[in-house]
Amino acid sequence: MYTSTTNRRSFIKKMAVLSAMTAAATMFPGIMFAGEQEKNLPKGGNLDWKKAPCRFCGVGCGVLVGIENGKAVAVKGDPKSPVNKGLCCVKGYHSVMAMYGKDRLTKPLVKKNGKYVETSMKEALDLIASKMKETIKDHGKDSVSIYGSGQWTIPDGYVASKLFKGCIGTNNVEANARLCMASAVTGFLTSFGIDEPMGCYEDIDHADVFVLWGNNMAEMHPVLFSRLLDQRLKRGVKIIDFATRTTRTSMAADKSILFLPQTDLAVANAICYEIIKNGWVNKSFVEKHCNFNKGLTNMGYGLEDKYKFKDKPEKISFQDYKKFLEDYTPEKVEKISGVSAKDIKYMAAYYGDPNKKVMSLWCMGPNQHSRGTWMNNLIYNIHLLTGKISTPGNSPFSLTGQPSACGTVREVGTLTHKLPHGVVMNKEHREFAAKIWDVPVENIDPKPTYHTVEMFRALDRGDIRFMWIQVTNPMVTMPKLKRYRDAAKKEGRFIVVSDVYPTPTTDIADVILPSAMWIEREGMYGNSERRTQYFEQMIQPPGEAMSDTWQLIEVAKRLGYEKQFYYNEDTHIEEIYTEYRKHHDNKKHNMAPLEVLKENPGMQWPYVEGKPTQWRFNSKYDPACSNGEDFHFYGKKDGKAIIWQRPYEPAAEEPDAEYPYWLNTGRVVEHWHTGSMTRRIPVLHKAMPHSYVELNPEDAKRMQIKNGDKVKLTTRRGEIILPASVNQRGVPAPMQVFVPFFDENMLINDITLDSFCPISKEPDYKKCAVKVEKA
Amino acid sequence: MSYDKYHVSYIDIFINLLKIKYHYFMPIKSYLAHPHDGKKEELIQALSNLNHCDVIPAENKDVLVLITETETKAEEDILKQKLETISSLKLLAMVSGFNTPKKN
Amino acid sequence: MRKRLGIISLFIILCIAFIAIWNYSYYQGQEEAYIPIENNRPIPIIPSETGVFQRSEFALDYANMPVDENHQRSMKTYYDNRAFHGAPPSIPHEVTSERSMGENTCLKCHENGGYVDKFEAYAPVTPHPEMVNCRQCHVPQKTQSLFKGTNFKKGTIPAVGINNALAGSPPVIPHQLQLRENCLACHAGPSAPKEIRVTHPERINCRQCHVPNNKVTEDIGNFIRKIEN
Repeated sequence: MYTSTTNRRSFIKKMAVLSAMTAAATMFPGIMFAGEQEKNLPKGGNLDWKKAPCRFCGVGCGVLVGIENGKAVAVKGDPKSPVNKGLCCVKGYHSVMAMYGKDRLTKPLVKKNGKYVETSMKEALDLIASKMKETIKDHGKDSVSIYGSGQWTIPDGYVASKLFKGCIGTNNVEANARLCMASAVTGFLTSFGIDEPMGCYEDIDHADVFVLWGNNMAEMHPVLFSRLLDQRLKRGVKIIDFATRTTRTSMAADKSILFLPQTDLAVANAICYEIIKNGWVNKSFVEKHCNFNKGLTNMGYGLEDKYKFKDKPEKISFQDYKKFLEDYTPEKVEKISGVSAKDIKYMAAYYGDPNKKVMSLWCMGPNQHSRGTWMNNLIYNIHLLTGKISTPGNSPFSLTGQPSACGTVREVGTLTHKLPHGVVMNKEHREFAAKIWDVPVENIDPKPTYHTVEMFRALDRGDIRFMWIQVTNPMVTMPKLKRYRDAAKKEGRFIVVSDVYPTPTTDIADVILPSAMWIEREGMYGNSERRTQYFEQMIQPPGEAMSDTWQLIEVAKRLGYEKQFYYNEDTHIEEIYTEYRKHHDNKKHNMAPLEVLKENPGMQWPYVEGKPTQWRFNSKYDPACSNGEDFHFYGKKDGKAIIWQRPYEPAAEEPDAEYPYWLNTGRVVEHWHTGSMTRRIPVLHKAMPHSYVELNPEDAKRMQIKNGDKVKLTTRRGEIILPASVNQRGVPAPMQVFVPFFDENMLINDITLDSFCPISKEPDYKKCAVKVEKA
Repeated sequence: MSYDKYHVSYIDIFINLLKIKYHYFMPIKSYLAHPHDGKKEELIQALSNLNHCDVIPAENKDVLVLITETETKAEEDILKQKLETISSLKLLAMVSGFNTPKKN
Repeated sequence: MRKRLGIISLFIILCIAFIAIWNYSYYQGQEEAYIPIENNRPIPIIPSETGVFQRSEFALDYANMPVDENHQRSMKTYYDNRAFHGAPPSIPHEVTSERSMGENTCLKCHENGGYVDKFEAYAPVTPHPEMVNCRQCHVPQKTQSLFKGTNFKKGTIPAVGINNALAGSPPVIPHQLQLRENCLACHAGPSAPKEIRVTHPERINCRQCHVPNNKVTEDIGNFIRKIEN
């Protein structure tokens, strides 16, 4: 009953005290011994709980981090957060352990004669600055570049953009969000003229039907999926999983519909065909709020260097659009997609039913797609035709992969063509940014330079000589990886990598800077539903580790930009955020002030007159609506959203006789991206120690491959050997295989294809042709 | 037996205490200490300065609870002697003691 | 005529002045009525009450259950299975289906517990059976090796038997309640760790006597009466 001698002793002591007090009380009625009761109260493990957004995915769960003696020791969900309402996933619960890996980088390392030598932070930063100056002098300003991340905090991305675009004057600013969110951005811009979802997570509490487009939510957005499951328990909502592979989500859904890779384009058009044919079009909504457009087709796939594409939008009539859809009757599409006409009609009927509120959810399926922008447009088409948009529960919702893909990359604009407000091509936007940045407007180059894939190709060609990589691991994630790894190792290239652990990307670095991660510093993230969340510094970073923001500021000062980088070390995050807010000082995008972020579990923008905006474009909720109608799509000049005519086109590389299988890649619930953090969390590594290749059981049987057998995958880019996974986590359709990409020891991206969506320039990691053999 | 048990009644507690008493030897005693008039603070100071002593003064009466906790009987005796030399102490009345086998 | 115009314009001026003053005082009045809300506490300090009475229909069964001393869990094995105090436990056994997110695959044993021959143990009962995406938080262990070592240290784990304010008073709850609001799931029945098995499951309303300690999220400190003005 008593766990140790100490406890027995303390118990006896308590008894002794109690009996003495009892005796005293009989002698002196009314005697008081204050201070005794509370002295014995346990202090709850002495944990201090502090709030932060989760470090991992784009859902942006609020977490409470337990701090004990200066160390983060526990995590729980923040019950006050409207995002996760107190729940986390396995990554979130163990997230603090990601800071304590034994091989944490704590000192800067500089490569000298092929070996990494420890140095001081000052020397390393001096070296970076002098190397940048030298490169700019020898090769021009467009030979230096920065490659960041959707895991950059808002201040990280902001100072990077200010330094490179505003001060140095090059648009060589990109981020890994190009590989995951670019199609969502171009989808929004082409359909609505303004980025990011109109709805919010609260739509989940109102919708009756959920259609998941190529989105394994049960593993990739588990906390949101649990909200769907919760609604099903309470209200009996329907969940439809529309995917190429059978996953946990398919098993959990009410209906699982499988389609052949790339044919989602055809199915989405077939749904629109059905909606029009059955008279389910919301005529008054479409007349008042929509235009019809078509763009160029047969755009190619960006496989060649210096590939350029510019769409030419052209207005069409409803009749033209209707005629175009005649190629997409459910019966015709059944033949291309493998989805039965009955199932297409089943989905269309839910979208068409005026009494059902429908939420479409998608992430990497439609985004990492060689026609990603089109796919995004097509989903919006369905919602626009039926008028099921911008109202609670009626919501086309593009989910994000990274904690600040929205907050940093999309809103701060760390992409080659973007500025915090607007684009570099627009003179007014340049002038506006230059004024806030306190730089001459001529500094900002009006021409975008390289998108991510092209940036690494430029590094290969020698057009780029200096690259600074922060918070991302491109030497695991770039498609057709081998080319870009060899490029980085070439003579005359100088690579700086800021990270928290050694990775395949630090292996190619000339300078490695140790970064302070997440709650070891102060910052903000912005999640999928336009929610900006602040976190304070809770613990000390190890060794000389420094935040990415401050690394950039130190280098900027060394380059002679003290005037623009006037920030004070103690208050710089607040100063940067306050300055950044000026870029969005309008009703369409106003950000909440820092005090509000500190007090709340995040705040959604547009934050107007002290209130967040939950549903944009709806005049009931959105103060930026000004046309006097119920809806106002103010991103476009005429206030109308666009329904796009986008055809089905095949993928860049489809299976043939030599490479007969489809290769699909993705994530698993246990690991975050390349696993550089999650693999150092014992619980997660033990649960998912290495990568594998999922095979369809029929295919496996035919090739006599059993679970765990070695399988050789060969594409036109190379080959790789992986253990087989048959009938386990996921089951691909026949003649398809799936490989998770987290494992740096089994680099699947060595053999993937670097084709991309011509509009968004986002690579298609989900489709290429592969040969499968027993090894 | 669960830890929840011992709030059920005082009888339980004392049964438990007896069990402990005969299993483990550790002189823990509690006293009520009465100071001379007006010397309460002085007494608190004096007692607090001694090792092995915990003092819990009553807030509104001139009495304090003293707990002594020593490792061995010898140590206990030395402490006893020290206590007797304190001038501000009028009376020391033992309330409970565990394992004080003086007769041995 | 001029006189009449004068009178009319006088009245108009008076009227405008009246409207202006009325409006001004109206808004003044509204401002008076506005009570500024005190700064939000960013972190809640009172835990949810949901789930306290769950499983209470089994309370009498629990009370009558004999203790199987050969197969009971202890606090040690309980904590071995968790990365830190409050972390979701790992799955210490093989899973039937990797493709299932959990749901009935897990709940068939973990909703109500019971003896499992294969593992020679009683299946622990989940305090939140309504959350069916089990594998979102609970993962198995497929290897015991690590990718790289870790310096993570488990924080202090609350000990048993030292959680009462007074000797004999009901112990306070020394752990977080979130997702563990249902007391009986872990503190009663044959799968409850022996040190924390409650002797009186039939009392049901646990939090009538056992309160969360003063530091569920932050130290509230002791009550001090504030004297205004």
